[in-house]
Amino acid sequence: MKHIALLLLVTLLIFPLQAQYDSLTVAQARLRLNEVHQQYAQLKNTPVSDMYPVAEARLDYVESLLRLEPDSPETLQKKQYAMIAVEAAVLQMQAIIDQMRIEELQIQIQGVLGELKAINDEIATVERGYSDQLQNELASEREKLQQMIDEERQRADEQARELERQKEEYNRRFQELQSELISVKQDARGTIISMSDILFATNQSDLTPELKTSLARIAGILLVYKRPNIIIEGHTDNTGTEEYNQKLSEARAKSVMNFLIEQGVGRDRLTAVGHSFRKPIADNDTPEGRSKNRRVDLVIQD
Amino acid sequence: MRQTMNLEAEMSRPFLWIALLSLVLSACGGSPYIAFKTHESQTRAATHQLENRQNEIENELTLKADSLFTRAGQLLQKEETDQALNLYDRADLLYRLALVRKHNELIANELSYTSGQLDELKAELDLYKKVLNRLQTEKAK
Repeated sequence: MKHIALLLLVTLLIFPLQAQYDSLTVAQARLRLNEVHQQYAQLKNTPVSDMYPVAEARLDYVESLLRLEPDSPETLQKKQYAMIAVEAAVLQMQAIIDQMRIEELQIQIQGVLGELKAINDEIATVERGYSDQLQNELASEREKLQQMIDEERQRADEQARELERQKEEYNRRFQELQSELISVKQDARGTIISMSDILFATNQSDLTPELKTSLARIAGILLVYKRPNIIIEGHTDNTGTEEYNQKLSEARAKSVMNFLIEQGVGRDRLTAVGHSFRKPIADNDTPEGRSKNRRVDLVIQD
Repeated sequence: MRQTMNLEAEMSRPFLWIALLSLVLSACGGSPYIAFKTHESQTRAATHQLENRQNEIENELTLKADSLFTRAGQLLQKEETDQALNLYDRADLLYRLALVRKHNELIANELSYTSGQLDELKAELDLYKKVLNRLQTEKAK
C-alpha cells in the first residue's frame, strides 16, 4: 500500500498536468457539467455523449473518497482524473451542440441561396419586361449597378484592411504595456490584458495609483481606436467563500470600468463581470498559483 | 421432463446467470475478472492511442498517456494487474481528452467558417435586393 501511495505521489510530481478544470471543486465541476448537459439535453436527435456518464460516475466516486480521505494522494489523483473526465465530457457535449448549430446555419445558408436564386429569376423577369428600346439603357444601368457593386465590395475590402491594420496597431500598443504586473496575450476571444491584484489594495476594490496610470494608458489607446469592445473580468483565488469572492471580483471589475468611463471610453463599449474563483489560470494549491489567479482581465474583443 | 423445462426457464433469467458468474468469480478469487477488465481497458486505451496517432495528435496529454500506457504494460508483465488496470484507465482518459479537445477545436473552426459564409451570403442577398429595387424603380418611371 505504501508503494502505491509513493508511486502515485511520484507520478503527480513528475507529470503535473495542466488540465483546464484542475483547480475546480467537485461541486463546481458538477455545476459546469450540468450546465452544458442541460443545453445538450434540449437538443433533439443528438448523438449520445458517452463521456457524460463517465464524468458523473467519477465525480460521485471522488465525492465519496473526499468524505473518507480528503488529503490522501490517491484521492487527489482521482480528483484530478475526474476533472479530466469532466472536461472531456463538457468538450464532447459542446462539440455536439456546435455541430447542431452548424447544421442550423447550413439550413439557413440553403434558405439564403434559395432567396438569391429567386431574386435572380425576378431580375431576369423584370428585364424581359423591358421594351427593346429600353434594353440598351438597361444594359448601361446594369453596368452602373455592377460598378456600384464593385465599388461597394472594394469599400468593404478597404474597410476590412483598415480595421486589420488598426487591430495590429492597437495590439502592438497594448503589447507595450507588458510589465511584471501586467501581462498581454492573445487568445480566441481577442487580446487579454491581465492585471495582477497587487495593483489593488488587499481585499479592496479601490484602484492604486500604479493601476490608474496603466489604465489611463489603456484608455488612451481605446480612445484612438473606436472599434474594439471590452469585457472587464474580475477574478479571485479560492480563499474565502464564493459569495465574498464574487462580490470582490465584481467590485474590482466595476472600479476598473468606472475609471475607464471617467477617462472618456464609451460606456456602451464596456461590460464588467465578476467570475469569483470559477476561472482560474493557475493552480490554487500554491501561493504563486493563487497570486496569478487574483487578477483583473481586460478582454479586448477583435 | 417438466423439471428440466422449469430449470431451462429459470436459467433464462439473467439474474441467475449473474449469480452463477459471481459464484465462479468468487471461487477463483476474482482475478480472472480483474484480468478481463484490464484487458478491456488496455484494448480501449490502445484504440484511443491509435486514434490519436492517426489524427497526428501529439501534446502534453498524449505524452503523459503514452508514459502511463507503457508503465501499465510493464506492470502487466509483472502480473500486477490491479495497478495496470488503474494506469490503463488513466491513459485512456487522457487519450480521450486529447481527442475531444482536437475535435472541439475543429468543430469550433467549422462553426466560425459556416457563420462567416452565412454572413457573406446575406450581404450578397442585400446587394441583389438593392439591384432589383433599382430595376423596378427604373421600370416604373
